[in-house]
Formats: sequence, C-alpha cells, structure tokens
Amino acid sequence: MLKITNLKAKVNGKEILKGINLEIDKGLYFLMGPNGAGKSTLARALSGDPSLEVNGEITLDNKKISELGPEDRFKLGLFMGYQIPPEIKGVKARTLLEKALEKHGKRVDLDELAKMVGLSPGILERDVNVGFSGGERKKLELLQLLAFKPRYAILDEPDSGVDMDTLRKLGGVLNSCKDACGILVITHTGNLLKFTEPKKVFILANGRIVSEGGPELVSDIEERGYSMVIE
Amino acid sequence: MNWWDEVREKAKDWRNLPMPEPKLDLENMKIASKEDIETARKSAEEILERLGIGDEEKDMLLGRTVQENNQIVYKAMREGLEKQGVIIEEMNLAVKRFPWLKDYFFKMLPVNENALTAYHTKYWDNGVFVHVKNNVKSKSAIHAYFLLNESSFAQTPHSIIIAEENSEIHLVEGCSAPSIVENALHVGGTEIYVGKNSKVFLTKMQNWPEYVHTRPLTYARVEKGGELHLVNIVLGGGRTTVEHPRIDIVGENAKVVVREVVLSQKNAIVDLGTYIHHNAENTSSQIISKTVATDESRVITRGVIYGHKRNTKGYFSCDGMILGDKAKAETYPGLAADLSDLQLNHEASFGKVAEKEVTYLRTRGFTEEEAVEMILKGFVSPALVDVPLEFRVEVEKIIELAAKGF
Repeated sequence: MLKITNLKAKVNGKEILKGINLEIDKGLYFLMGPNGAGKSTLARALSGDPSLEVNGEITLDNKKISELGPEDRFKLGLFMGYQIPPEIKGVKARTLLEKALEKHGKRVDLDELAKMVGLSPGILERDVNVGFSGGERKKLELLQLLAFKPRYAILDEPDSGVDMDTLRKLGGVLNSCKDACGILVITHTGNLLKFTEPKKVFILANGRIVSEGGPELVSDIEERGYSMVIE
Repeated sequence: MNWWDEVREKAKDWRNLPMPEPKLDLENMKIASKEDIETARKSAEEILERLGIGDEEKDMLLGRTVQENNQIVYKAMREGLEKQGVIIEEMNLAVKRFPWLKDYFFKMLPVNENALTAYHTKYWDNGVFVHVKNNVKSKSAIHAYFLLNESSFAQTPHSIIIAEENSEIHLVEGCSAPSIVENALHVGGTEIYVGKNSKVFLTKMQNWPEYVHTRPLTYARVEKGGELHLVNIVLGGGRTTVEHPRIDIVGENAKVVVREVVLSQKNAIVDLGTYIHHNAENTSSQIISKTVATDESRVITRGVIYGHKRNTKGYFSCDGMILGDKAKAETYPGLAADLSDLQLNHEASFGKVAEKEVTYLRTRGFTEEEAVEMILKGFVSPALVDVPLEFRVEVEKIIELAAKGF
C-alpha cells in the first residue's frame, strides 16, 4: 500500500498541499481536480522532487520513504510519469533506458515496448525528448512504466493532448499493469473511462482531498463541474 | 647562417612588441620549481590511477624515460608511414632534411604581430613536421607526438602539417593525463596547409598542470575543395590558456569544422576562440564550442566567422555549463559579413546544469552525481563526433571525475 499521511508541500514558499491523506493499493486510481489544485505538486512531492519543501509521511508497503531521495524511492518501486518530461540533450533515449534498466537489474525488449505504446521505431535513437511532440513524450513515459514494472506509479496527465488511438493504447497499458501495480492517474477528463475503469476517484481542491468515490464521480464532474461537486 | 636561424633574427626585437592579455613576464617564468613538478606529478599519478592507465603508458605520460623498445616500435611505425607517403619528422631534423620547407616555415605565423609570436619565432625549438604526399590517404589516427619522443617536452615547439593535393591525414596530439613539464611557459606554434581536395583532421588534447601558462599559436590555410577538421580539447586549463587560431579559406568549395571542448578546473583562466576568414566563394565553416567551467576557473570563448565572399555559410554555436558558484564563463561568438549574399548564424547558451533534468534522472534511479555526469556527457557530445574513440572515452572519464566534485 502507498500511504500518504498529512502531506504538506510548499513551492517557492507558498503552501500548495495543505495536508493530504490518501491510500492506494494495487489497481487503478484517478486523481482529479481543478487547475491549480495541487495535483502536479502532489505527484512531485511523492516522487521526492528536492525543489519542494515537504512535510508529512509517505510509506510504501509499510516502509517510510518520505525522507528518501527520488532515486531511492524509485528503487523501492515507485515510478513517476511526468506530464512534461524535460529534454536531455546529447543523451539518447535508448542509452538512458538501458542504463536505468541495468541499474535496476531488469532486461526488456525496448523495441517491443515502443511498438506497444505506439512509438515509431528509431525514436529511441534520438536524444531524450528533444524535438519530441507532446504525444511522443507521453508515450516515452508510458514505455518506462512498462519497462520498469514498478509497484506503484503516479502518472501526471498521461491522457492530456493525445489522440484517440493513443488514448486507447494508454487504456490498454493501464489495464495490463493494474493487477500488479497501484497506479494513480492524474487526469482532467473522463476520456479514459471508455477504455478502463478506476477503482476509486479522488478529488483534490485547494490543496486537500475534498471528495472520493467510484467512477461515477467522474461523470458527475463532467456534467456539473468541479465547483458543484466540491460544494 | 642557416635559413631557419635567419627566421629567428626577424624576431630579435620581441621585447619591444606589445604583450597580449593576460600578460606574461616571458623572461622570468621559464622554469617551474622542483616542488611544482613533484606536486603535479603526484596529482597526475593519482588521476592516472583513477583512470586505470597502465604502467608503461603512465611512464610515458609522466615524462619518464621512455622504454627503448617503445622507441623501436615508433621508429618502425614512422618508417612504415614514410613508405606510404606520410613523413613524420622532428622539426629540428626536418629543416635540415627538407630545404624546400623554407617556403612553408613561418609563412602563416605573423612573426612580429606581438611579443608572443615574436618570442616563439626567436626561440622555436623542435616540434613535429608532417608531410602527406599527393593522393596519399591515411585514414587511421596517428599519434604524431608520441612517435617523436623529444618534441613532446619542448617549450616552444613549431609544427607544420602539409597535406598535398587529394590527400588525407588524421592526427592526434596530446593526452588527457596532465603533461608534466619543467617549463611554466609553453608557446607552441602550428602551421597547417590543407591542399586542394585534401582533408586534414587534427585532434588536440591539452592538459597542463596548474602552474603552466600556455599560448598555442595556430594558423591554417585551406585550398579549393579542401577540408580542415580541428578538435581542441582543453582539460584543466593550466594556470592560463589563450588560443586564437586563425584559419584562412582561400579556395572555393572548401570546408572548415572546428570543435572545442573546455573543462576548466581550479583557478585556470581559459580564453579560446577561432577566427575563420572566408576568402573564397561557396565555402562553409562551423564552430561548435562546449565549455564546462568548474571550481574557481574563468572561461571566455570567442571567435569570429568572417564572410568576405559570396555563398559563404557559417555556423557558430557556443554553449557553456557552470558548475558551482565560483566558476565564471563568458562567450562572444562573432559574425562579420562584407556582403549580403551569404548566410551566417550563431547560437549561444550558458547556464547551470538544469535542476529539472537532474531530478528527472533521479526519478529513474540515478544518483545526483550520475545524473550530472550523464547531462554533462550529453552536453559535450556534439563536439566529440569526430574525435577518436579513445579520446572520447578519456574525456568522459574526466567528466566523471568532475561530476564527483573532483
């Protein structure tokens, strides 16, 4: 279980997360919320981003990870899929992945995985995210979810700005992973519901979890908007 | 008087000429103290240990007596090359062996431009002469300076490379391990003649101990259809390093590619910049400069691509990364056009290693140190494409040490 207790986070001195309590187990979870609610900050706080000022406790299968750096959280089985992953010039995507996998003691067929997420062959020979489209960046993150096989994953808006075929592939990947992995998907829309179903939906607003429920919460938000649901 | 000593005479008034910045007191800094050399030798040994370099190479790199059988191997290699049409000779002997060299000797280097050019002319000593004959193509990298033991340690070597028509040569100079020299001053000169349709690749790696001031004086001339590929890797930076090569493109369809990598350390001052003159139509040049400034070092990268003729294409990119709070880096990439019918571009970016990228890599299981190392290697890699593999590996090892806060 990934358990978050009273998690607070400041960005540039401003408090963004004001005490988050959340638990996820194996399976698929959605985290939704209006713009500026703190969703991406929560993802970064969980990943161990050192530029945030974080308080509170995070445990991963009963092991406290909140004091650990990002690399140690990753080693324990936590994966963070970025909304907009950075470009790394001069480092080929394949080189990065092979090195990371080697450190992680895993071997996978990267070309096979590229095919599964719909990345064109050859993109792995390019510098990490340099000149990639938004969709390609998201697919490379998704490829890594498959490659590293984490115990828990936070995916920050993997569905935003992608076409219908990619959305379908994303749904398929999530379905194939969710039995072995606890996945928290940060999303703005219910578009993914056509292809997969979350166990639970959390609503984050103004730095706090204000509501949680089943998949029906998503359609409720789509119909009535956040402001109504939150009240 | 021999013709090569007559050349010295032209520079006899070197003391009266202006000294470029940062100024050097040429007469009072010739010999490093025993302590300096001992300290440098110890730190070099440590580095070689960490780099995993074998004993024999180590002796060579540290300037100890070179084993006799090495000399025999090198002699055999030189004889083999000479049979193919590539002559490699010590300059002190070359001037005696080839009287025609007079027409190339100090013909590009402007003897009395300043105190340094004149000092070099007056006191030149040894160096390497490379002569590639018509239609001879030598594709594998030649460590010319290793083949000639004596010249590696001269304070004022003068080297000349002549590639005749339709020839090709790949030369490598230096090594990533610090060169231990007794002289605190190193003023070498190089003149490169790239003949019609010939290709010259020169890769230079400089790593001077921190008491050395170095002022390489480099000149090149590229004829019709010729190509010059210069790679200059400056590791550490000694105490001060100033190098402003001048390249003249004199024939149509000629091409020049310059790549510079600076990894400055300690309190080094490095000022590096190439000046390329396009004196013929339909010619192209490219300068790619990558700086990593660490410790308290200061780096200036500069240079100008001058478009004097139609259809000149020039591209100048200057990027720098600054590690820590005490290092400084500046860049002044310049373009100058005499007419409109040409295309010159430049790009420059300087900054710290991006925190975002480091964090991203850490979320993929890399430590901060490994992340910085990967980013730095990626950063310099565009400048290392033409570099022999063994050099690239050595640069990467130095980066690994730099990332460890070396």
